[in-house]
Amino acid sequence: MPYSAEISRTNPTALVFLLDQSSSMLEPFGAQPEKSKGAGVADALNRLLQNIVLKCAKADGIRDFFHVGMIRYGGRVESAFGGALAGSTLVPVSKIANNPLRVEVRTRKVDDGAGGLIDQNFKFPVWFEARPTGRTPMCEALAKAKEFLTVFLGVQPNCYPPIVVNITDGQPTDGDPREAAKAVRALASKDGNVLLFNAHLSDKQNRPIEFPTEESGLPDDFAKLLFRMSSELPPKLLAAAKADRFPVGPQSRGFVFNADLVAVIRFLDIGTRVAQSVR
Amino acid sequence: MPPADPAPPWCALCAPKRGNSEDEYEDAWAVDPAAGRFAVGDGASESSFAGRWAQLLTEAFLAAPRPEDMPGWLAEPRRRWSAEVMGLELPWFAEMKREQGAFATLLGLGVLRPTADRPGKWRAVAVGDSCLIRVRQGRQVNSFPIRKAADFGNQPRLLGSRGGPLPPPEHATGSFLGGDRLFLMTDALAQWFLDAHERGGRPWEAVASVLSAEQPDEAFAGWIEELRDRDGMRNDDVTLLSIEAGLAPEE
Repeated sequence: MPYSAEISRTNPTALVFLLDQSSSMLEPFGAQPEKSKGAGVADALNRLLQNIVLKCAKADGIRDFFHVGMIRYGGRVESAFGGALAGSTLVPVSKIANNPLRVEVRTRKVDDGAGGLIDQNFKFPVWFEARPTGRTPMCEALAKAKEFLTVFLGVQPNCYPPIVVNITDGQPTDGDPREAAKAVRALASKDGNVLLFNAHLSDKQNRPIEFPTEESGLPDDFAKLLFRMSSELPPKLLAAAKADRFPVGPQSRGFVFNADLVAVIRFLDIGTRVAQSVR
Repeated sequence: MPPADPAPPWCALCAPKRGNSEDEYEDAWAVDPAAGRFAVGDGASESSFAGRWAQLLTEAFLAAPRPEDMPGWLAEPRRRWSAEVMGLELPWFAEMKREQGAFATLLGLGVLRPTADRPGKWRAVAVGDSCLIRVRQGRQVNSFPIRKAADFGNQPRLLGSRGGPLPPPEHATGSFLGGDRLFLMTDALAQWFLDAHERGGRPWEAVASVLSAEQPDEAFAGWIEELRDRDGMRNDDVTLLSIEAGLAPEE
């Protein structure tokens, strides 16, 4: 059965993030209008990376279940890693864990147990900062992801199929990205085709949409375009999404609108999962 | 004269997940044969310090004055876990992971061994998918708390080391007659066992042959590897505790 390969240190898989950093990302983000879409991408990516690191963290260090790539596209297409990892293509998650640009201390309000709220500090590692500029070469970014994954699949032909996550406002300037997307999805390990998921950050203030089964309810043509480019969720991811109470159906696709894809990281099976409800 | 209720013969065997070292084994088991108490636990691989948590849980079950009162005795292993790990200096990711707590299943068993004068009995408490399987007269198989191979998933109910909601423990009791064998198994082996039985097999025979080998530890390691390769048994830590009633089978 496809999409059933074990993800382990000897058989890791790859995750590649494509980050739209074009000038349109300076516009406000519909889900949080005080932020730009570009800052929304950065937050989404930093949260994703943190979740990946924590998924692989054990008391004695990090287990390299994943190799991670980040490609930014805004004007140019290039590796989005900075600091010690600047210019890297795919790096094992232990290197990600040990090389954030910085670890910020942020504050959030929490229940004080007596009906009030108190400030609580928490650490927020930052790997990526928004610097929107220029046009939106999404097709070129997809081609770059294909390049990275072709090399990876040569080394790990039996891996759980790699996942490409494209975070964008969906307005490419270098042509119709469907062909480039198709070429990414055509890559395969022995366990199945590469999965392409899309997170659409819009300036529209519509309610978030997660893992839709059809495009008819989507708010605009950009959302529909990204939906068409997105892979269907394989059965195990679908079952995990269902268990986490997402309203998914058999044809649900890896597409979200004004929402993040952190849940997808949770769905990946590396062993006994701790249900969200008991954390 | 022998003691009125001698401890039952028992044996514990374990193997780490393939690709992991023995240090990375995160199941746990603990026994107090004289008190007739046995326990296995399975630390959730997506949490950290989980093996230690599973070990503390199994030991706390053995020491509990009223083992069926899990909410009552859970505070002590939680306190010990915190005392052991909360003060450690860790990198940011291990610290965040520790904040989330460790999680594990627990299956605790109390047995009263049968004697020539009266039948024995067992009482079990479980949270999660570690299973008690009783085999009687080489045919009758009862399993608790998971009854069918299809009912295993990768999101079992778990006990957390840092509080949070306590999933309601499941309780069961049964008789323990001459010739019976009780197996406590963590999920991968229990699932294989129930699946093999549902297909008409006699999986307890393979288990018995491992237990009676000259070097049961080695035989177990080899057998588990074979089950992973041949029967597609899920790659996971594996633990087996076997307890025998002794005496002749009772009709």
